[in-house]
Amino acid sequence: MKGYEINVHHITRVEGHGNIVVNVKDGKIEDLRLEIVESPRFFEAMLEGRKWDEAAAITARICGICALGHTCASIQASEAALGIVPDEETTLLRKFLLHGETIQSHILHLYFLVAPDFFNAPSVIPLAGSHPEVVKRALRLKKLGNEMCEILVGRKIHPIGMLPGGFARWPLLEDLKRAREILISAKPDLEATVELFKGIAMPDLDRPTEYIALKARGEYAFLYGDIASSMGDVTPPATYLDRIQERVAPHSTAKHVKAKAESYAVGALARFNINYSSLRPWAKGVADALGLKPLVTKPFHNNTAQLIEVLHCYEDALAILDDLLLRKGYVHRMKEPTKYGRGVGATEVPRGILFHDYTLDSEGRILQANCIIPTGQNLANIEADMHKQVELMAGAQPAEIQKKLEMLVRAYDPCISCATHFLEVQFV
Amino acid sequence: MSGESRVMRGRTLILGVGNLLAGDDGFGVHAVRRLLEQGVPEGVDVEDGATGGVDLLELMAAYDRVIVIDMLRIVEGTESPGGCALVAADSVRGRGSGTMGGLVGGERSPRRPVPGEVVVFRLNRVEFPNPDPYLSLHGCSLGGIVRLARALDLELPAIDVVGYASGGIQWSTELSTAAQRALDDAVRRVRALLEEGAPAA
Repeated sequence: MKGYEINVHHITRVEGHGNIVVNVKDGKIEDLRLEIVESPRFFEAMLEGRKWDEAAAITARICGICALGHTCASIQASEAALGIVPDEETTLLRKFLLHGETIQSHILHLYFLVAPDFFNAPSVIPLAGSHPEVVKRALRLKKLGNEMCEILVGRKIHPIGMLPGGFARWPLLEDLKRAREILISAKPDLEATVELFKGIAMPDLDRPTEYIALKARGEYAFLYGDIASSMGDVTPPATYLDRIQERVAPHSTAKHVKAKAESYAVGALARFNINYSSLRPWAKGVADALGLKPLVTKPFHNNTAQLIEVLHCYEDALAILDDLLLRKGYVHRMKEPTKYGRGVGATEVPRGILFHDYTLDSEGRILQANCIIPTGQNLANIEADMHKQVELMAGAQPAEIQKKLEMLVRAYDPCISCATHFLEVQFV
Repeated sequence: MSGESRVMRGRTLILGVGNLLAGDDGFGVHAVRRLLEQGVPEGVDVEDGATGGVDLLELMAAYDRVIVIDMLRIVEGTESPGGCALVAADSVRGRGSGTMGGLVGGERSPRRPVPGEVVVFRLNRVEFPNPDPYLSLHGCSLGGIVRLARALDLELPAIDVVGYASGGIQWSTELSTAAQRALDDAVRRVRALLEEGAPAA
């Protein structure tokens, strides 16, 4: 087919509102856009003028899915600005809680947003009617993540107990034991999840891509680390703006971001590519059984990488609990600020690296704030993949191309609503 | 199973939902804070549901009765001549948010609510005519939760919605002046529902 147009107004089953526009004439792509049309959010402006101890609670409200991730990145930025170094136990508990959020976010993306494509269902609602056991399993696993958070910090939806310097309440030994029992009981559901998704063949699109993820010594980095690229270099988080550049895309209310290449990818596949050697045994075994080894440059395998990360987070969460249970004499004390300056937090949230950057004045108020959300970093790369996908499907029916493009956008698990806050005043 | 559900038999949950960073969308959360300041009767739990999305399904299913406080958007003329639909905007979006997993086709009011007004309706009696392909995790609002529960044959408690019909939202941590004025009315309507006792779903 030499010429066609695709106009998807409002892509289904992604977080937020995006459109796909493709215009092919005489076999050539004349126009291809992933339009981001949501209204802007001004989170940074809401932070400016606030005291440092208000930031975590405000930023936790940015996202209902990544509330913990925002809290972790915010706390890390605040602690760097305040000269606080958290103790080992605090760091362990934060890692544990972040794993809970990653598990539930990946599970819901895979079951609610990805699986309907492979069951030929328009959404999870008809899937719930035709395959209720599958959806109920997803809800049980989602609950697992909630319970990990609720037992240890006392709240399901927004983690109010996590603060710069420590935790408002440290969990009791009984809490840790209960969390462990709940995790153990979830294993059959995770095994069934592996069986379900390993049987799904991901489309084969392959394109050389720069992958960026956090890297920390001896672990599969989530909570902190340096910024590592699949092109070889490593950058400390504090100098992130030297490594990545935001730029304006006229068709998007979210800024695009580039690094060494014109675009780059963050998220589960980027982490897998950077941190593969530190995967826990079950996760690595499943990756190997699926034939997945770095460097994987097939974007649909972001879904597969999410499945592998669910297992890794599960295993690592158990190991963290075992470690904490051994530290019976530990008494938690909040750490206090020693200075007011600038601090950058970089945390791997389910969709990729999240940056928070705060500059405090001499009274500890936020003078300037910057947040860079993972989806904004992926947008230019998604478009580049869409170009390749359209070229590969020359001759296919537009409806078939459209379906594949929507699946491709979905594979990145974009959170368009959160990404739109990049907008600057001149766009309004 | 990942642990047993907490079941709050004989108890009522008052759930305020919305985004505190999105102005009037945070109405439900501001309202439950006010309720807590004033105190609630024995046997009543109060939760800030924020933008909990599908998490709210599990939370609500554990109770015998739920009263949700939320901001509503009014969509003109979609149900009947001169009628309107109420869209629960608990997972507020920018453009196009009105139909995203929202409570489309809510119980028709005897008259069209005006912005600034507080209305009450029974969520269980609302019909949702179409599967919602836009259902996502952020966008899993009250309507999405009811659809999902029905598809899975899960039993939901009686859910009353105390909704604030907003004139619009803005990115702010503060409520509009009109919404601030309506807070006491919403709290009064919640207390009236509690005094009526537990209805059948």
